[in-house]
Amino acid sequence: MEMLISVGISGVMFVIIISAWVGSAKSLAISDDYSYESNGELYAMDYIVRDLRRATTVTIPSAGNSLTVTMPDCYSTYDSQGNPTSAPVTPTIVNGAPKYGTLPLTVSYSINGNRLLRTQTIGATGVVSTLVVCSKVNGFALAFVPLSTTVTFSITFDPKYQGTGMGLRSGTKLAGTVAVRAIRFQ
Amino acid sequence: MKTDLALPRLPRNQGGILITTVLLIALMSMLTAATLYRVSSRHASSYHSVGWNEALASAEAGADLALASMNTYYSTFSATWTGWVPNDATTFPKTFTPAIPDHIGEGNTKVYAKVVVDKGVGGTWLRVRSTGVAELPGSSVNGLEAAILDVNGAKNHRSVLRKPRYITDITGGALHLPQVSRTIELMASPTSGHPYQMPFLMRGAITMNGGAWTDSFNSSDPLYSTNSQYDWLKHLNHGDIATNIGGSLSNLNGSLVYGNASSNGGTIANTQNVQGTVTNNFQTTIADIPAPTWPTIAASPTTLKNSGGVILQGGPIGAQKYYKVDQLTLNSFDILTLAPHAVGADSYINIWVTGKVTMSGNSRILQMNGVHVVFYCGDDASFTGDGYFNSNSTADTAQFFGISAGGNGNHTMKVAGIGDFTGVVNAPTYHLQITGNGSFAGSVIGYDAAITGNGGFHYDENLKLLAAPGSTAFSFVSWVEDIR
Repeated sequence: MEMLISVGISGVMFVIIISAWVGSAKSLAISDDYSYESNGELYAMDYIVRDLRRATTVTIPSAGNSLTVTMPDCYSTYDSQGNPTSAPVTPTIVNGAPKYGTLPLTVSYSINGNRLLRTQTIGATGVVSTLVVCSKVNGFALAFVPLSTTVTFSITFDPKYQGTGMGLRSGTKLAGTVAVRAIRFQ
Repeated sequence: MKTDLALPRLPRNQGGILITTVLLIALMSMLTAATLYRVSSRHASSYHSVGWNEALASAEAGADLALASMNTYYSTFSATWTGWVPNDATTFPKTFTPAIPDHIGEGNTKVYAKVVVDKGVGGTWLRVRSTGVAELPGSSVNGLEAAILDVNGAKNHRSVLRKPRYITDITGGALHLPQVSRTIELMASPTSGHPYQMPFLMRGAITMNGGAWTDSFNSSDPLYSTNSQYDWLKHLNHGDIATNIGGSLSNLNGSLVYGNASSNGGTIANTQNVQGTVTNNFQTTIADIPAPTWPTIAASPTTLKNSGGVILQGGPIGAQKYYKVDQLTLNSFDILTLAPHAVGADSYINIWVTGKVTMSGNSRILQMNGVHVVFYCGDDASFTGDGYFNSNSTADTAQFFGISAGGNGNHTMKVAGIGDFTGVVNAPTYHLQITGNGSFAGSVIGYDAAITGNGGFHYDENLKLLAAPGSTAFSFVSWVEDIR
């Protein structure tokens, strides 16, 4: 009789522990995913804002889900991956304005599946390089709105493991406004 | 009596709950540790983002400090740049490293900025390079990025966004490691704009007669000048003229203009020899010239009248000479010589004539080589006689200003003589009368102008960068970030 009671109690406790383990593991997975994707969002924002600040032209399609900017070519040499390897060049003054390089750099941001890609074209050499700014981000979405010398933007993702119709995307929105410094000075 | 001092023995079937509790605690601790392990690096990464953005804010603050210093020290010709190294007026580049205040908030506890100002771009421009540095929280490299992948999966180390430093301290010990830095580069130019964009710009009418003609050259470019001087074989076609009122008041009388002729409405008469475009949609703002505000005015002379030969000596840029006289009257063979403080040195002289400038006979003003002159007129001015001789080859070395007092057309300035004239005239409320057969290299701004004689007026395109004194506050005109 005592054996049966102890086995019963142990069984109940085992079920509780297993349930707690499964629940915790799932919670961990959700937290981990949310953390990962939020981090990607933050990383994407920092990348995009850095390029927007130094842009001399900004092109945003009507859908507002991608971004193309041009910026001064401040360097004389780049490595094969499109990274500058020289100190910034001294600009020349043309018609009362400083001019770096001959042709500008063009940088575009776009979503490819669950990846955010940054594609850079060096105007002077035509070399194109593409970086994966973020990957494995579920339902990554960009939204840009041009406003003269500023650009507002928002970045969202779809958290995994959400129930149907929970609409958690809005809670992931990272939004801001960037002053396009280079354009303001033109 | 026998006493049993031994502790009572627990039954073998007791203590199971304790073991179960310990196991449960261990299990939950492992779960918590696993969660923290997974999340903490990303949590640290979010702080790195904060630090990275704070580094930019610090760099921007450094640039603002440089701008304030330019307007405080450079624009006012101050002899000392307080807090900068070196702190004298003329030596560039200059470096400023501010004290580091602690600050509160997320991300880090200290920020730092190193600011360098130089004149490497040329002209009157200054370049500011400001590096902002922020500490990253903690001492480990937890959360620091190692590389970013390209589309083929190859690691790209140079493209790492925040480029944390955990080996090399670029602050020399002011901040601890790890840290992030961002460098921005800004160009500053005088905010007065650049009024000298053509040979003739008038608020009112322009009348050309007697074969006067205009074109342009560039004293800073050997392709468009010879020894910094005008050369017809290298001339350019930006000898524009413009009037800020209706063109019907102006008449070019068929004068040859290697450039455009523009008016603010109406039609300029007799533009058949304008080689560029004739338009009537021109409009601009021509700023008044205020009376100068000078730090120290020389005690003498206070007047210059029929003095035979007089020498006014300049000073280095940090100790310029300022002369204020109630008149300048030269006749017969009087000579006013503007001399450097040392042979071959760049020397600066500022002259303010509150009364009339009158030159007649064979009198002349001789500006010696290396001397930079700023000449303010407060009343009618007649630079005639034999004329004004500038021994320098560039027009920015002789700048003549008519102080705007009493409204448009209240005073007259005459420029004539037997030789060539090199300089700029900015007298937006003065009637200008320019005569003679010598050539004119520079730029002229006035209320209206009557130009006679058959000399050529050669606009020096290097003047596009020259600002008008009296409003030499600087502002930034470009912004780039060094992303290496």
